[in-house]
Amino acid sequence: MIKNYFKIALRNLVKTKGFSFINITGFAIGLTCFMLIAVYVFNELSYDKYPADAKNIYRVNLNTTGNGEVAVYPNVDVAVGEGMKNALPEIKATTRLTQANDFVKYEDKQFKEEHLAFVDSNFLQMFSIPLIEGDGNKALTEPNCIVISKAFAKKYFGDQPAIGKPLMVGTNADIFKVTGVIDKVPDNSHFHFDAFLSLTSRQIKRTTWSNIGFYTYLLLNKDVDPKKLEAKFPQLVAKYVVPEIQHDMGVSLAEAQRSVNNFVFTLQPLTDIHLHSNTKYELEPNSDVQYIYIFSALAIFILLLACVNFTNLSTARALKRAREVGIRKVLGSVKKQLIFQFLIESVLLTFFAMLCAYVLIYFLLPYFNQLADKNISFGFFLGYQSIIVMFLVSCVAGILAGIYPAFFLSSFNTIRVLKGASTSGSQKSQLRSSLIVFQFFVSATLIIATIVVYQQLSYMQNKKLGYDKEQVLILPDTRLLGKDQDAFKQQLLQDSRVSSVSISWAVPGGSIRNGTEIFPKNNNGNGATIHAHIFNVDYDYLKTLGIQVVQGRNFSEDFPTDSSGIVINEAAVRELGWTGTNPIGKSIVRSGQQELKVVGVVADFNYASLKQKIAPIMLMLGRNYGGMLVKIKSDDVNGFLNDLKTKWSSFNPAGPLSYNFLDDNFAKLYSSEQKTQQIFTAFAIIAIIIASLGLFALSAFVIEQRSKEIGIRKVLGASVQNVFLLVSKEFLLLVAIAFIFSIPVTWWAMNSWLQDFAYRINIAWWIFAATGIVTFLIALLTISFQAIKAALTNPVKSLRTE
Amino acid sequence: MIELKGIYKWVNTGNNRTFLLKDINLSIKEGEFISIMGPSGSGKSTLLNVIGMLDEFDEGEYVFMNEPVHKLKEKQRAALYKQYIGFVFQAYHLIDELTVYENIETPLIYQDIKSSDRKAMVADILDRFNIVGKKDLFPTQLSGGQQQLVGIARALIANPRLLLADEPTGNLNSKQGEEIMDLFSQLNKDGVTIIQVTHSEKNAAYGSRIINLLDGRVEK
Repeated sequence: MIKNYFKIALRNLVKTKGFSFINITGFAIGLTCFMLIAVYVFNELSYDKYPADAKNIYRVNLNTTGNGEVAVYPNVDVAVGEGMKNALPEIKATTRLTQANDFVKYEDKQFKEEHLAFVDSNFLQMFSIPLIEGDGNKALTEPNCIVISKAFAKKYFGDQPAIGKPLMVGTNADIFKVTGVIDKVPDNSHFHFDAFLSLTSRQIKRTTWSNIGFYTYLLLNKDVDPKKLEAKFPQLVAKYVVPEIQHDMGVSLAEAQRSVNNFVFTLQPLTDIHLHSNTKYELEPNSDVQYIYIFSALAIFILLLACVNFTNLSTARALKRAREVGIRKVLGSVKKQLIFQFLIESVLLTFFAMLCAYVLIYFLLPYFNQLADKNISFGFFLGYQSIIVMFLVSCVAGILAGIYPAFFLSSFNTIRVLKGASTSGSQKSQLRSSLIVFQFFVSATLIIATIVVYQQLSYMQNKKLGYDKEQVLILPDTRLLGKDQDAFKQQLLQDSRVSSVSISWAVPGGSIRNGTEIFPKNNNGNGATIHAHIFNVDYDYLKTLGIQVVQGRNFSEDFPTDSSGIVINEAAVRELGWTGTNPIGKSIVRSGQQELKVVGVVADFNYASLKQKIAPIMLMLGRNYGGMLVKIKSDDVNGFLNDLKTKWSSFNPAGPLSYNFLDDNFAKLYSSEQKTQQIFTAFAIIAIIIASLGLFALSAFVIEQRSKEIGIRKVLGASVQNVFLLVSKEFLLLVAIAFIFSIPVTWWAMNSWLQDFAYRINIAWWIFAATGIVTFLIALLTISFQAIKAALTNPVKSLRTE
Repeated sequence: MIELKGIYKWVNTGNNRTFLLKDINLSIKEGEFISIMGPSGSGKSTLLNVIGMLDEFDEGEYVFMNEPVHKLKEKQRAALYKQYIGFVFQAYHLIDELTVYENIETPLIYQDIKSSDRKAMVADILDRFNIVGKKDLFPTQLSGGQQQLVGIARALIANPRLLLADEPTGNLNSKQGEEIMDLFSQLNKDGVTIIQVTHSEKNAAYGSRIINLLDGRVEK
């Protein structure tokens, strides 16, 4: 019997090519989206599960409260891990990591390595990262040992064995011996270092608790409740942190003891880091579980859209199948058998779609990998797990799409359909209408979301930042020049293509980590201590970046006292409580010791992402080793860069020249928003394609069924416009309803998305208007193919066939 | 074989009740060849459908092969129907997507007959009706007479005791019609009970008894 069902299902698919094509296309797109996203979600959820003890590994985070704001740090001070382990028997082991980037040299090969880490000797064991060469137990015990990845080894040593080779790290001729080679850190890890150096090389003597800088992981004994363990941390804070604060900050013991409440160590499960941790100082930008939810929802929606097409088209086509249903019933089929037969048809269709989806995945995978920043191979989709999932999803989609039509079709009254009476519900159907509303609701929602994200993105990229980011070249490693930095600067200034050069490490858009507590001296009234970022700059900093001085003056070599002077921004003026007074000449106190005098105020500029509010900053002269900012005024950037490299080499620096552009740096700040935008765009396009495909076919069927009515109307004198309106009206009304539903939903959703940004757009009414018009036009265009055809048909034709 | 006692069937339109069948009392014995006649709308097809269990009735008793049909559940009725009754339509009602062979085979599939048995039975009937050469054609490739032949073959494939035919020759020319009626006579001689609905006096004459209907009643 099943064979017979398959046979007729196949013949039906072939016979109704248009119907099959639209459904298979829809399902194929839906399944492709679903599979790609399923793999993405699966991959995201697999993060940091590779260590054997992953479930029992926790990272120590530090939450500090100051000015009523809680700051979360994912790293703690050097002695915290070991101290905790000694005090608390629940902790089985602890290990630390601290990042570095530096130049690495072997013979004549030298590269800047961005992903180096100093780690404790047990780090690789705790994370179950096996050595493919070398002794895993001892590789990082001794000082000046380095374990490198296979790719890293290849880069420096080619095909020669790596073990025992000396690598020079940094510019002080520190030699590290290669003691181990790992394949690589797994892709689904929250860190990806190319080389691990023994932390013992650092020879850290201090045993403090109150600072940060060391990513510290604890391995707990089995069945230890991390909440109970966390409850024991305040005792350790009282014992170790309080005395340090008392000493460092010069405050009384009572005041220092208050910090027990403001200085909280917490435990973050290792497997939560990738999706639930979003602090400023993560080892790598993490993902967000929000995206997992959004993407999963989108994947399911897209698949549902495809199911809707099938349901709608099948019920619309019911009339054509009705006779067959009648005959089969007369021949002895019971309802159950008919339902089964129709379900087989829909499932068979989704299986064809599944094959097409595989083809689509094969071609789309590279783009997807690029978009999602993943490295998933097509082979993964051919693994038995993927195939089973694909199979099940196809089945479920097929049944979901086919269940209503199956019941609908199989419930036809035998005699009526055999007499050729038209089947009730074949023209208008509540369900079909609601499903069309659903499809266009999803489409309109995605279109609005896409526009809002796009708007916010371009707002951020085009907002006046308070500094000029165009044509500014950043040389992050001019410290390699040592004492020649000034000479290099002078040489650059002689180049006519250079308009200004500043030696400074403070690059807008980079990470600003330097900060301190300050309060106004002789404060009367408002005496709050505020936190200010410190920018170490030189005399040319403001000029190079085009930052505007609004009060007072820039640093000047004419005033030797400027070495204890500062320039602050308007945010600092506000927070220090100086609004309405002249801040010039006033003094602030830094960290309870140093007094600094304000010489100028600059306009607020967005030194960081627009997600953050502009915080108080203070610019200080001096200690400018590090990087250089070069403002150029030439279109021949490549020519300039070539000359720059020559100049660089002439100083015999300790490493190669590295450079990047300020506006590129700036653009990278919004890469995640850019990605969101691309994804929404893709989904919006897919949704509208699927919805339009469905609408196209549906309008064709409905118009075909109404051909007699249309014929009669034309005979009675209806014009082409009349007929066009008659057949389009019904569908366009549904699209309009869908659009109206989408307004409040997107209004709410996009406003909550925008809350992430300190500087954001208002959702303008025209975004909705534009979406409405676009959706409407697409629907109109889709229907008009059929509607015009119907309107132009000679009525004699449609009436004669009756 | 068939006992109808006081069968009523009606539809309610607004406040009016229109009777499709009114107090039908009928007794049909095995081996009869009945022709039901009457003007359009007199209830011929409705009566046939009620006898064939495709349609329900509102009042009365119907005993088929000693089973009280009016008391049976749908499943039992379907089983009874599958076992004993074959149907032939004026418009043939073959499934366009299936070949001649597959059309004839379909009732057997619904009766859960084994594949090898099905093959033998279909081959047998194809041979009997002289349409072996057409078995792989689709209905649209056949003439009307040939299609009806297939329809009859399909109705007979499961060896029914009762053949119900609703104007079987209505769509055929007179020569084709004659052939079909000859076939019916032959079948009747072989023991199949036949009830046909017809407009044509000539075709009705093939039967052993004529029942005339008018406005849902049997005319005496």
